[in-house]
Amino acid sequence: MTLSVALLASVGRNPVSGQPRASRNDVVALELARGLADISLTVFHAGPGDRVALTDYLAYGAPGIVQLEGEVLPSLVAHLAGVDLILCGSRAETGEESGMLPYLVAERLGRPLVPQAIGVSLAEGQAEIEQFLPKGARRRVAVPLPAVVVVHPLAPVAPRYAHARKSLGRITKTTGVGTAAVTPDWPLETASALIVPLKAVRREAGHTRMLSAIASASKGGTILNEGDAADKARAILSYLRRHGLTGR
Amino acid sequence: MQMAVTLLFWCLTATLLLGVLRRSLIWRSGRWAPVRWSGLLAAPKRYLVDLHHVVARDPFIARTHILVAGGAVASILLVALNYGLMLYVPVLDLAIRLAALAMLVGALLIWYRRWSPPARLSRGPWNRLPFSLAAFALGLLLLGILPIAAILLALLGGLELALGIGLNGPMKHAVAGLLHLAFHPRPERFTGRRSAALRPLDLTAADHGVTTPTDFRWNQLLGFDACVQCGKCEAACPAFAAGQPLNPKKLIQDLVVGMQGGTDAAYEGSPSPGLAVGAHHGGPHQPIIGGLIEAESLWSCTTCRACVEECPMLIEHVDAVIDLRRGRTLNTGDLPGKGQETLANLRETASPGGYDLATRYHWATDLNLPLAVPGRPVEVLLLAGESAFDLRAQGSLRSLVRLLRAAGVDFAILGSLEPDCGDTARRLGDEAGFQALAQRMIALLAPLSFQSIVTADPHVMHSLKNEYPALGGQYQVMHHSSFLAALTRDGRLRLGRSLEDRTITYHDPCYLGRYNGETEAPRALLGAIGLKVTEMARSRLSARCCGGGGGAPLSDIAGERRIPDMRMDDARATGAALVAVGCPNCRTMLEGVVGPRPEIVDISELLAQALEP
Amino acid sequence: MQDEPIRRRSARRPFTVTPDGRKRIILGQEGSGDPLMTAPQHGPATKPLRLAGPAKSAILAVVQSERGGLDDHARQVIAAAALLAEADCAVITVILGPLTEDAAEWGADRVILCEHETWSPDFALSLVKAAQKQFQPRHVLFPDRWTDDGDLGRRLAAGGSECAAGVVELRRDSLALRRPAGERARRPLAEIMLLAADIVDPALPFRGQGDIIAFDVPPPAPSPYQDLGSSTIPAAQLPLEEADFILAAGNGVADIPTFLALAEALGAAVGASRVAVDDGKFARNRQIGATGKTVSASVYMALGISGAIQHLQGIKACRHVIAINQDASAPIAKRADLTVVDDAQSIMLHLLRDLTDPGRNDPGELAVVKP
Repeated sequence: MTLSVALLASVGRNPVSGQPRASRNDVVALELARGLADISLTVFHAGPGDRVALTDYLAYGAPGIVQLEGEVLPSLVAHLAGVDLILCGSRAETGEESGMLPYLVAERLGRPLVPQAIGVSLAEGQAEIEQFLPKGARRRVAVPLPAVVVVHPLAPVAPRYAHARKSLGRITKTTGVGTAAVTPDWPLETASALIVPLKAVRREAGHTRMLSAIASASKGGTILNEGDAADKARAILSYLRRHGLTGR
Repeated sequence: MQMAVTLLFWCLTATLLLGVLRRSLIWRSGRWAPVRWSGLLAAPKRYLVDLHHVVARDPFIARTHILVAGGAVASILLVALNYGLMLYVPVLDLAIRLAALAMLVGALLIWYRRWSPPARLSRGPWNRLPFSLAAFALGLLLLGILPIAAILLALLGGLELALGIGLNGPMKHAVAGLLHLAFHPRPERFTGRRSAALRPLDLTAADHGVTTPTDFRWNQLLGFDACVQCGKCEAACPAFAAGQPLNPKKLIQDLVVGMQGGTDAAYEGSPSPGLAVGAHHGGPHQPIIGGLIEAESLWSCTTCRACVEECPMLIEHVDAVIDLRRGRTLNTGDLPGKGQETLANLRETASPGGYDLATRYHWATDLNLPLAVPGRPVEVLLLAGESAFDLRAQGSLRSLVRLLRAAGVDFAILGSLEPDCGDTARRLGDEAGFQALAQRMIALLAPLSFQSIVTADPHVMHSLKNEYPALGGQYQVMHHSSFLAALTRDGRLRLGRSLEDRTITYHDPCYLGRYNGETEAPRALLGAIGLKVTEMARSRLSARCCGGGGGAPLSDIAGERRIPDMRMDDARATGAALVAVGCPNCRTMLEGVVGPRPEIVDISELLAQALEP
Repeated sequence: MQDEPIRRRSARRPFTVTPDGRKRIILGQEGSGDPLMTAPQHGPATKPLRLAGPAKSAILAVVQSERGGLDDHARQVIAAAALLAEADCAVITVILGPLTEDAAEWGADRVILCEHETWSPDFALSLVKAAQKQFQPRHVLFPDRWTDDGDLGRRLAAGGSECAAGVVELRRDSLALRRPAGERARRPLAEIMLLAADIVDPALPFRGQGDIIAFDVPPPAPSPYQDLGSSTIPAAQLPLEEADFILAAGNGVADIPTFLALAEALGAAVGASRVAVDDGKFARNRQIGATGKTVSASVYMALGISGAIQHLQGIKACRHVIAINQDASAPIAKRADLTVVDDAQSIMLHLLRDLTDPGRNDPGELAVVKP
C-alpha cells in the first residue's frame, strides 16, 4: 500500500541579498522525502507564496506544489488530516522563524513528532528515524504512523537544482481554511547596537570592578616558550583539563 | 586492362558513396543545424587557406600532407577523368604517374614519421596508413607496367580510401574533414575573425543541452568524425598535462563511439589519465556521462581553447564540453565541488561568491567614482566584475582608475547595481542562470548612454562583447589593456619610464589572447614604459592556461599536479622576477602557487606607477 | 601652572604578573613582584544566597545535562531565571539527565531530575507540566537549540501557552526576537521563552540553594516513542564540521602515523592545512580553511600550522585554539589561546606518552609563564 507523504515547503530567503529562494532546510527535507520508496509525495505551501521560491522547489525535484490559500495553520491541518507522514524543515528562513509550526501541526492533528531527523525509513505502519545529536552522537527512534518528522538541516542528502525540472511540475492553488490574516508583528528595531547580555547588577567598589576587568583582559594568547618539550606537553594537557575539554 | 581500372574506379567510387551515405545517416541522427549549402563551394578555399594555416605550424607534416593528399586527390581526379570517363589518353596516364609519385614520396615520409612517433599520435589503424597509401600510389605508378600487380595494389590502397568513411577507418577524415569545412558550426572562423562565443540555448523550446549523442547538432557529429587523432589537442591541454582525467582527443573519440554505438576498446591513443581504455561504452540514444565519458573528465576542462587552437581539422572541443555540461547542469544539477553552491549564489545574490552587491565598490569609497545615470552620456562605463571583492585585485582596479583619470577619461560605474556578467554560470553549463543575469545586465544598461565598456576582467569582456549580442545586448567592449593602449596612441595617456628594473614576463590570459586575439596591446603598453618582456615558452595564442577558467577551480578535479604550478614553472624558467598578468583569475591562480616564485602584478599597476607626475 | 613639586611615584612599586606575562601595578594592591603569583581573584570566596526567605512565586528553567554536567547554554538559561526572579521568587530547575555538578552556582534553588534511560519526550513533557501545575511559575525558560531541551520547550508551547522562541536579547521587562536581515522585534516577556545562546552572562554574584528535590511524576501513559538506541560516531569518521575536538597538521608535521595515533588518543578528528593536503599527506576532505572546511570545534589543536589568513578563516568559530609551532611570531599565535613554541614532533611524542601512560607523569597545574 502506498503511503502518503506530505512535505511542507516555505519561502526561504538568501541572508545576504534577501532574495526569495527555496528554504535550504526544506530542500533537504524534500530530498529526504524523494528518497523514500513506494510513496505518493505532495508538496504543500501555506503562506504568502513567491513564484521564484516555489519554482525553485520544482527545480529541486518536487513533483508539484499545492499552494494553500487562507490561514496557515487551519489550512494545513485540514489538508494534512489524512496524510501518513508529514515532513518539514526545522526552522523557516523568513517570518517568525520560531520553528513552532511543525509542533502546532502535530498537536492539532494529535500525532507524535520526531525532531532532528537525518534519516527516515518506513516499514509496517511505523517510521524509523535517525536523529542528529551534538558531538557526533546519533539516536534511532521509531514512531507509529501517522507522524510528523522534522528534518535537521544537516541530513546527509545531496539536493540538486536542475532547471529542466521546473517545467515538469505545476504549482496549483487550492482554497484553505479561513482568510490569511496579516497579523502585525511586534515592533521591529534594527540591530544597530550590540546585544547586551543580561547580567547581574554588581554593587562593588571601583577597585574590585577594575580587578575583574584586568583579569578578564588577559583572556587569550598565552605563549609558552620556557621549559622542555615534556613540560609543554603537560601544559597542554593541563589546559585541556582545566577547561573541561577532554575526558581523558 | 583499361576496363579493369575503369571497373575498379567505379566500384571503389560506389563503395565510397555508399559509405558516405551510411555515415551521413549517423550524422543525420543529430539535431538540426543552420548550414548553408554554399559552404561546399567554399570548402576548397577553406582547406587550402584556413586549414593549412594551422597545419603549417608543423612544416614537415604540412609538406608531407601536401604531397600525400595533393598527390592522392590529383591522381584520383585524373583516374576519374581518364578511366572513369573512359578517355584512355596516354598523357593523362603520365600525369597520373606523376601524381602517384608525389603521393608515394609523401607516404614514405609518413612511414618515416611513424617510425618513432610522438606520444600524442594514435597507433593502431593509423600505423597501417603509410602502407595502404603507398600501395595505392605504387599501384597507380605501375599501371600499364605491371598490370596485375598494379590492380591489386591499387585495390588494396583503394579499399583503405573507399571504405574509410563507411567503416570508421582512418581515411574517413578526408570526407568528413572536407564536409566539416563546408558545414562548420562556426563559419565565421573563415572570415579571419576569432569565433569563441558560445551559442545560446532556446530554453523556452526546452533545449537543455546534450545528454545523448543525438542531442548534438549534426554538424558537430560530422566534426567529431573529422578527427585524425593527431593529438595536438592533447599536447596542448593543461588538464591533461596536469594528470587530470581529461584527454581532449579521447573525448572526441568517445563521442564518435557514442554516435555509432559500441565500446572504446579500439582506441589506440593516450587514455584519459587515470581511466582505463575499454571500460566505457555508449550508443546514439544512451546518456553520455557515466557510461561513455566520466563526469570528472567533463569538469576538468578549463575552457582555455588551446585544443581548438591547435586542431588541424578545426574541431570545436570546447563547444562539445559546454554542451555536455549544459545537459548535465540543466537536467540533473549534478556538479562537483563548489559548483552547485556557486550557481546558487549567482541565482540568489548575482555574485558567484555570494557577496552583497552593495559592497562591490567599497574599494573605491574614497575615489568618488560617478554613478552612471540615464540622461548623462559618458565616454566609458567601467565594470569591475567579481574581482572587486578580492583584496589583491582591488589594487589593480585602483591603478586603473588612476590611469583613466590621468588620461582625462569621462567614466562612470554601475555601483551596487552591477550584477555578475554570468560567465561563470555559462561555463558551468547553467545557461538559464547566464541568460537571467545577462537579461538583467542588458536591462540595466539599456537606458544608459556610453561609448564603450572597459573592464580589467577578460571574462567580463568576452561575455559582454561576444555573447551578449545574441541575447540583445550590443556594446563596444574593451579590455583595459586595449583601451589604455588606444589612449597612449592618441596621446591622452602620458606614460613615463617605469622605475621597475626587474626582469618581467607577461602571461597571456586565455580569454584575452586565444578568445579575442588581443596579445599585442599589453606588450605594447609594457614596452611604452620601457619594460622588455621576456617571453615564456608557449606565449601569445599558444599560451598555457593558468587553470582559472571554465569554473575549474570550483569543480576542483584532482590531478597529479596543479595547472598554475606548470605555468609558474614556465615563468621561473625565464628567470623573470615579475609576472605581469591581465586577468584577476590568472592572478589568483598564479598567486596560489607555493614555494619561491616571481611576484605577480597586473599591467595596470605597472602603468600607474609609471604615470608622469 | 603648578607650583607644588610633582609627586614622584616609585617605579619599583610592588607589582603582580598576569597569566599572560604582563606586569601590572594595581593601586591599593600590594604585590610581591613574584612572577609566579597570579592576579588575585575578585569578590568574596563564597557568594551569598539570592533567595533568603520563603518563596512566593517561581520561575522554571528546563535544561538538559551532558554527561552529568551543564554546558554554557544550559547555565545561561538557569542564570537567566535567577536574574529575572525577584527576591521572593524561587528558581526551579528541571534537569533532563543526571547531574553531577552543583546547579546552585548558576542560581538554581530547587532541582528536579528527570532521569529516563530512553528518549521519552512525552514523559518529560508530563513532568514539566506537573511542575508547572505545582509551582505555578510565571515563566518557563528553555534553551533554543535542536536538542531534547529545546524540543521540549516547543512541545510545551504547542499546548497553547504564549511562547517566545528565538529570543536574542533578554531584559527584565522585555525581550527581543530574531528577525531576518539582522532586525529584532521587541515584545514583553512571555510565559514560555526559548533563549538563544550567549545572551545571558551566567557569572552571578550570588548563588541559589541548589536543593535536589524529589518530585512524584504520575505514571507515564503508553508512549508512541520507541528509543532504538544511541551511538557515537568515532571522531575519525565524523565530518569535520561536526567534530568537537580537531587535531590539525600543517607543514611542520612529518610523522603522520604518530600524528594519527595522537588524534586517536585524544579522541580528536583529523584536519589539515592546505599545504599538507597539497603535499598528499591528507585527503582533500580534511582540509580546513577558506577553500576547505569551516569548523566550529570546541578545541582546535594546530601542529606546525603557520596560520595563513585563509586557514584562520576556517577556524573562526573554534572556541579554544592551541597552536604548536616553532615560530613564535607565526600568525596563528595571535589567534591561539595557547601557543607552545617547540618542535611538533617532540610535543606529539610527549603528549602521546602522557595520554597512553597517565601514571607516568602527573600533569598537575601548570606553572605560569615567566615574563
